[in-house]
Amino acid sequence: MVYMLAVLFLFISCEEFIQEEKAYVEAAKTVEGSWKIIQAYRNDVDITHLMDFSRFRLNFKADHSYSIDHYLPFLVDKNGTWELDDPQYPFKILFAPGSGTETVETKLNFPIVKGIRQIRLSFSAGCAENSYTYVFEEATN
Amino acid sequence: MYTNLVVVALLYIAGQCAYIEGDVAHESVYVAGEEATFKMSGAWDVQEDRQNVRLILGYLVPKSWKAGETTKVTYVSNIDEGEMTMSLIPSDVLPKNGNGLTWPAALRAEFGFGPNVLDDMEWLVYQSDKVYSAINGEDLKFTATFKTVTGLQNMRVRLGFFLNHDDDGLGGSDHYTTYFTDCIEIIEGKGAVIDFCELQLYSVQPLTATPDDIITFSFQGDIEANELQGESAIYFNATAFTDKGNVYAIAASGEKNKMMKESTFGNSWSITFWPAGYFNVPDDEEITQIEYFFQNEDGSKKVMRVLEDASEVPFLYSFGCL
Repeated sequence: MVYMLAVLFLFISCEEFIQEEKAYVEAAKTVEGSWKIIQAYRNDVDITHLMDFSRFRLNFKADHSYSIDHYLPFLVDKNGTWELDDPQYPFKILFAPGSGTETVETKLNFPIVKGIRQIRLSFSAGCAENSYTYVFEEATN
Repeated sequence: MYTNLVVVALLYIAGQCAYIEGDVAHESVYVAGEEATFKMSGAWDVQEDRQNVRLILGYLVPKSWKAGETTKVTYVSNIDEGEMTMSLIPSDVLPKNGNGLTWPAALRAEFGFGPNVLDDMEWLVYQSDKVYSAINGEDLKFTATFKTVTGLQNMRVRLGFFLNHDDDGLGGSDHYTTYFTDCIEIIEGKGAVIDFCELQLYSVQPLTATPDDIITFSFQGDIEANELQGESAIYFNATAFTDKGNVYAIAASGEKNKMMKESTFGNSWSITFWPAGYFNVPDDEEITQIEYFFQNEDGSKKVMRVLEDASEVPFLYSFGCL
């Protein structure tokens, strides 16, 4: 009985400290826009300066279609549609290239670095043992 | 009672929490595709009480060995009975002090590929299956055995080893220890010797690729006397052969095949490209191999592969995955 009272007291005590809850709703993330490569890694080695990556563009459109300009090895080699696994807390991005039903997905890193939104995507384009990471920023031109 | 206590002492002098004693024992030559054994003696000096700690061993090997599939790591210690086992660390278990990277990526970021000159290597990281509670002042001394089936390629390579415990991760060079072997030879395998130990006049990264990878061809002109020493520009003369029997060449010196000088000083040059795009090969056709050599601007001087009879032929890069 004493124990129960103690628990009840504890509960009531705690109750006093419960603050008014505020409803924070995480804003949906969007990747819409045209993205350019600012860093490229092959097998964890920075190769950005070894080749011209500047013309590659990954364009995500509001209708969930995507297109690639000036193609370089990437997760997909055809235009198609894209989807985030969770618009509020995206962990993965899915690409459905061409008109086929096959999709490929990869982990989506979506950090803000020095106030600028980045997208980081890792993939294999040729042999599975070779991995690439592209870091994108939104292209202004 | 030492039950359930891990650790080592000994080189407290060096201030190291975990250290490798002496050399990692190995042969100087192994046969390709056969099992190779490496033995590391080490110790862990516990300088504060720790709970639920695992022993961590890292192992730097050529990717082409696919060593993660064949390697078995075991150890015997002064506080355990019998042979203890270790397992590859799951990718969602991150090291402390590792900047959010996985264990293999963190070791790669910290130590690269050690003293090797080619980067087609990977860190495999193992943790003890047994979890220890360590009390300040207790020691664990152990001898670990790595058994790995070597790859099929002929090569020369230096293997790397890393030792720490997971309560520290990559806490600093005064906490963990690394060790890199002398040059080990893999013989009686396939193909020309891939030399991870010393730079050659030419190299290609990555070692295995498809035409949809990004490839870097390098010319290290300072390695030995050659015709192109002193040239102010080096060009990459290449011919691609496809599965449809077509041939695509970019031979004449120009902006497209001009190699990039890797630093102001020295005589190292490289060119990096996506082969399918570089040779403008149609989508329905695939490059199977590239023949190449290095030349000066007017093509009057070149560096090619020299055969035993002193004749010269282009270098050859064949596409294919592990």
